[in-house]
Amino acid sequence: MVARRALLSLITVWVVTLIAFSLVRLIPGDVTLTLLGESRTEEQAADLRERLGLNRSFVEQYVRWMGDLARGDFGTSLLPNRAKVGGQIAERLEPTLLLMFTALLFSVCTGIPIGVIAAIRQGTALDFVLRSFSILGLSIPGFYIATQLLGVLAKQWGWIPPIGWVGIGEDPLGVIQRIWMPALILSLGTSAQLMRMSRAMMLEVLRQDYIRTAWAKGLHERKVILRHALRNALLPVVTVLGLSMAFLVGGTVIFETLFGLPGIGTYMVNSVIARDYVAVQGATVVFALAVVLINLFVDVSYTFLDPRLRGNR
Amino acid sequence: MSVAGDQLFAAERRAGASRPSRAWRGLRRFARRQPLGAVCLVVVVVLIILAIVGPSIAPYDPASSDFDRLQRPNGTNWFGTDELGRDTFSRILNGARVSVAVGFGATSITLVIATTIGTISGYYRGWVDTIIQRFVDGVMAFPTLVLLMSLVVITGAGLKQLIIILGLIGSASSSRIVRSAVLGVRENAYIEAARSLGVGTPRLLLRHVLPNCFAPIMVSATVGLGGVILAEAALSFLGVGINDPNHPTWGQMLNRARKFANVEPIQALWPGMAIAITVFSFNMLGDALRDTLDPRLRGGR
Repeated sequence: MVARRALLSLITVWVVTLIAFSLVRLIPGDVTLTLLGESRTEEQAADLRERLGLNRSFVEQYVRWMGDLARGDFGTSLLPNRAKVGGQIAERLEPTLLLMFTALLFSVCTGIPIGVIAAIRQGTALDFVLRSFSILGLSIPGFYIATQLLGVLAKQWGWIPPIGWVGIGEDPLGVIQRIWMPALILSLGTSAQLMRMSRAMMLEVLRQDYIRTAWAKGLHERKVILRHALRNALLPVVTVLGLSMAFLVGGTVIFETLFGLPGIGTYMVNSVIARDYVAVQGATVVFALAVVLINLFVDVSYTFLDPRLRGNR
Repeated sequence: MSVAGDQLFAAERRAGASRPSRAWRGLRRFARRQPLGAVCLVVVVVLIILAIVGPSIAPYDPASSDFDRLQRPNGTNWFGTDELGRDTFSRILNGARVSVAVGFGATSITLVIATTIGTISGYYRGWVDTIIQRFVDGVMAFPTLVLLMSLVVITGAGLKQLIIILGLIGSASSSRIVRSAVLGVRENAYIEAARSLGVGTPRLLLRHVLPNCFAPIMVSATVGLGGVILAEAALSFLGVGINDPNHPTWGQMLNRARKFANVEPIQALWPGMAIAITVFSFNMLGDALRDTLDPRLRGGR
């Protein structure tokens, strides 16, 4: 199971790089015209072709690009400073990773328990309230909630979130101050999805014969729910978690920009505005790889939780 | 052609003939069983009408600064005015057109591509399926917004480009839903029956497999529509989407309103509510459709 998942992830990684690599090469017409604009000089155009490796064969380009990528070399920025994109991304990894994992943690710690509670109390007012909130969480865009919240906080109490970044090693408290609010709002959507899925799965499992048997044996409610029902309901929930990873990772782009965190998302937005394609491509690859790796991590960790999957399957 | 075959095709024709009245009855039953879904359907219809007639019924020009800046909602400017003194109500009405155009345009593209890919993948299985699905995995690994931004750098952020890009991106995940539906349908006895009667593959797919996948395809398209509108809004919100002062979009308006939200938070309220209500309606409509169209869910809940 683990080996199979790892192999699939590896293939996905390969397809991801192939897509990211093809993006710039699929542009019809002159790439230099698209990326540099009408005012480019012939010198600049030749330089860009050289840097993107466009004067070699497609296969050769791809092999070289992959080789560079494997060494963490994402090429040099198209901006005049010619900064190394790989280095710039590495510098900005910390806020992005922290934001992602905190949001993931929040969504799992809220979504699954709330879903389970709603399922146990199916049809009650509590169930209705929880479900309504989850639908709201799915529909109201996080960036809108954040905008209103920041606006009202600033207007009523003059509170604005701290800007800039401090290393987690230097000032852990400062990191928490900067991270908790964007992470919480980012987690709302994923949390709502997880809640709906865990509720649906719990309801299905709770109707099974072995749950009735567990009740009939006179087991305590906590034991029936946690040991017998929850563990069997979690597998599809984990699948949903994997699917919503792309959503979560994409969300970091919005919330970093909104809260002024200097992460890869902010870097990507700035690079899009500056039309720095090499930087955009680098950030795109990093984000897609993050999604694949988190998925693999979630799958593998689940394999250890579920005894049925521990063997070879 | 055998007698049984003739009967089969006659039944197909009859089913086609009685469709309008069936659709109407279905709609009434839908409204009774899914009141919230029906309300959302009304919202969606109103949104479409607004997108068509909105710019002509808008009281003022959305692009010209005719009023005092940042007014509170009042009799003249129902939603107040923005930081340049433009009428927010007129701008919201105009924004509906962009959202609906992007949503329906991209989803139409997605429907065509996803149905084609998903059907081929699910019907033929084997190595064709494996190759297609690994590719779909790859596309799905990219967060929509990230891939969207990456392509916007290349193509520019015009309305047409956004529609095509969003349609292509959405095709990956939708094709997976079509595929799993086809995988389920192809095992049914009636497919076997049709095939043994000598129905060719194209006809089999179009008349027997796809109509039975209609429910999941419709549900995914409806939910996808909300997602596409949200993606466009997010892109505009980041300031890298459609940026044409004559064609305000909700995301763009929210982005501008965010910058002075500490002075006047109410201007962020309107575009935000417009996005939220639209996405909510499509999500709920998709949910209600799923409950109505999926026979397994039709009973008690």
